[in-house]
Amino acid sequence: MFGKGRFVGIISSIIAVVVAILVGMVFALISGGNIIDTFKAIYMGSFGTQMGLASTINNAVPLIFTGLAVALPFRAGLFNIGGAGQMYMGAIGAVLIGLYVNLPSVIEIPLAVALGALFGMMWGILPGYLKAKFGVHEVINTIMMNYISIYFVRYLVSNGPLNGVMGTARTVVIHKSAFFPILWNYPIKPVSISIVVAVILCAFYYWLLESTKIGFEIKAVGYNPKAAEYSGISVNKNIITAMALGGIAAGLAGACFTLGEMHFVSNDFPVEMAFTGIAVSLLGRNNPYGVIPAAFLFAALQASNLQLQLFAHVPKDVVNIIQGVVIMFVALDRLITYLLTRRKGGAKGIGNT
Amino acid sequence: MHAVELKGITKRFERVVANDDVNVEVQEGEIHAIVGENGAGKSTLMKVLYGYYQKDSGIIRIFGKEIEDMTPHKAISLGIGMVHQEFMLIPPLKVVENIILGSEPRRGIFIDEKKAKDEVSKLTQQMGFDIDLNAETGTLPVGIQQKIEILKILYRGAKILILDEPTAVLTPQEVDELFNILKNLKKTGKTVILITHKLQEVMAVSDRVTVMKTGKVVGKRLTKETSPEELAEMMVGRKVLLKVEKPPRNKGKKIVEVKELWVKDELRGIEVVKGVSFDVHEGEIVGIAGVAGNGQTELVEALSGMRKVEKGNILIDGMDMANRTPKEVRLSGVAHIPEDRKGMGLVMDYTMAENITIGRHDMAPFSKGIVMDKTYMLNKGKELAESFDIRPPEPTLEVKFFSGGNQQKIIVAREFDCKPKFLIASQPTRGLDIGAIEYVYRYLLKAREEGKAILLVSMELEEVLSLSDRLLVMFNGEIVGNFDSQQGFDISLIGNLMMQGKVF
Repeated sequence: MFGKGRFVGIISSIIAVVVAILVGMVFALISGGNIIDTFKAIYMGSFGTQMGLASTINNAVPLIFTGLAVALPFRAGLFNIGGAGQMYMGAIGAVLIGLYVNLPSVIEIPLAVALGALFGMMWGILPGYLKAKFGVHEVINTIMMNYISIYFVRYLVSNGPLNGVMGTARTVVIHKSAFFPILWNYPIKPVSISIVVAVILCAFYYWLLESTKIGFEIKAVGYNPKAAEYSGISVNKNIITAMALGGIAAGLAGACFTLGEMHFVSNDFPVEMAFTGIAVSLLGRNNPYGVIPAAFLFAALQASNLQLQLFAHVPKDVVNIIQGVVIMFVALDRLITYLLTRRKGGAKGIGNT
Repeated sequence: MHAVELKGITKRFERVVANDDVNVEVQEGEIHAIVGENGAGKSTLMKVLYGYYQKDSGIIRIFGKEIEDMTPHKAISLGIGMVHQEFMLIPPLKVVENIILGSEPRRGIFIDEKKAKDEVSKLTQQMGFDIDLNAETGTLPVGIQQKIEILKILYRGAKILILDEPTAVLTPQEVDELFNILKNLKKTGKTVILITHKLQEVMAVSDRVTVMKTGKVVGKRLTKETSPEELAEMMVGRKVLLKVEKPPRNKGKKIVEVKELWVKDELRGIEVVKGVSFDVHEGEIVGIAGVAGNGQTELVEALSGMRKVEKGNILIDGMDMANRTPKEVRLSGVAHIPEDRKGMGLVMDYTMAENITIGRHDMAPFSKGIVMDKTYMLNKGKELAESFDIRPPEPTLEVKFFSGGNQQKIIVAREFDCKPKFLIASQPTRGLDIGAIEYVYRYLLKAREEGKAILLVSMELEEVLSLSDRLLVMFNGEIVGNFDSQQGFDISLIGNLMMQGKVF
């Protein structure tokens, strides 16, 4: 059931991106590049070459997951900053199976994915429970949970039981039977089935939100917790459900990255992926399908870093500037929405109440 | 001379013509009421006058001078001031600070506080207001806040005051006080434009009336030459029953029995409902009258499962529903039209169909397994839109786009469609226009005839008096009076009980 609001939402996301690119171009010019070369470099680095395309896809996968990890709780009115910690736990869940279980791929892979999702879910449920039961603000407790899991995992892989290579801070490589099958065997950057898992999860979450009573309750709680409670929906239960769904997505980010790309877990497991997920979710308007183009946009910008420096002679910071401006404008969403609706007079202007 | 002259004003919003060739003339020094139902275009017209909206065509003349491209800034400098439905005050600031805000007397770069205080207290005395200028604005009652809004406008030198539905938030006593203020303003030569849909108010305070309906002016009258009935007919476009005609009651078995109910306000740590007992039978309306804040809200919340019960029982058809969840209470056959329509009754960002579903979304036929049946929801929305005359009849439109009256219809439709045994209606007509009020009354009476037990809680004494079969008066958390319509209601006795809790 689409309403008027959604249309305005998509437009303001597009405006944010366009403005951000314009601002990025200004910086490209200032730093001595030219616009055509910059565009060309971004295009070649992201979609225009096989190498670019492969890295864009690989960059996008974790962002889709971490975007969902923010988007789902957001629909219940919660801000899940805990994607990083949930992702670390997911990686550990997956790597445990990959290291210690040796079964045929058809069993081992689903098992590893499931344990990763489960670990991520637990790490989402805990702050959800604290919020529901004691009213601890989820932003605070998810940040704290991040520290706990990040340092716990670092301990596990450096001095702890999972350390695989003396003198390094990483596990050994998981069993081959736990490797994700490869969809497109591009050298250096093979693309695994992670992308399929990510897109399936988007579709599943979209269905969950839009077509089931679970989503109906989550959204009602997000829009108006008092009205939800009044109509018999348990706000606490839905806070926990939404955090669990977010945790599963973040857990899968860690699991799929481990099983599909790294094949081990190390000390410097990329935490930024989780934080970029916040921007992805915002730009995708917290919609599970909106997360996909948003993730690809950020992934493409990251992928074109190298080309920008080599061929357009533009510092890669231009990409960061574009990202920053996108986030800023999406955060200014209300302003843009206001300007859009005001220009048209706004349906709200009619009537007295 | 005309203080305000609006000629041929037309204002369109996308699909809707909110003002269609509107002509209004307001004489200098009069109280001019503009009446009409919600959505008739009154507020839009005033926003055009004040420069919030740009007119599509037409002429605005202020004191005879034509004004092109009105802006709020120009309006203020021309001496137009507006008191909005929602106050534009900053709660943590002192009263005096709020009044001078935007036109502060300065000394260099500093605010001349002494001058400000002197000017404001002079103005306050002139108006005969008793307000502590140093009080924190947010802590004051709404009636006082409204006075502050008026002072603020006068401080800016307004000659024309526009008040948009000023009485919606006031108690009856505060309404009387406001009317005295308006009459005093008139005596000092100010022009007042009063936007309202309450006809008693028009009759009580205005000199002339302009009636609007669906964006057009449908009538202009001198107040002394018209009647509420005539105005209502013009507003609604048909004859309206201003008096309730109630068939004799057909009292059935006892459905609700509340025994020695105690409810505590956890925030303030005091008992707010103190040992209340009453019962409600099939086919009767039991009204609860009382001044706001005497425990009615908490009583209703306890009955609907939203608030903890300290002690006592709430028997619904023999089952004790005290301290059960809202959901369990609903399932036991209780429906509830809540007093806080936007905050509690509706999810404003959900569509009409979704709001009609909420509360029943987890059961067939609204959902099967975990999947919701959207087709059923849409059809249900269409069906209820038709039978309850919800406009526009678009189930996929978010409820925030509906007018207040239609939002209330959506709640009423949902609660009636649940086929309850016991219906709690809390302030069911607050903020509604007469067409919608008549409609709510009709449905309450219909429910009564269908044999439902109904509890009606209202601050509008007129409303409980005319609808109730039995009337309870609540004061300070207790029920201090119990009347039956068969013996007739003694209004002065009820009034005394409401104000003091006892009779002298």
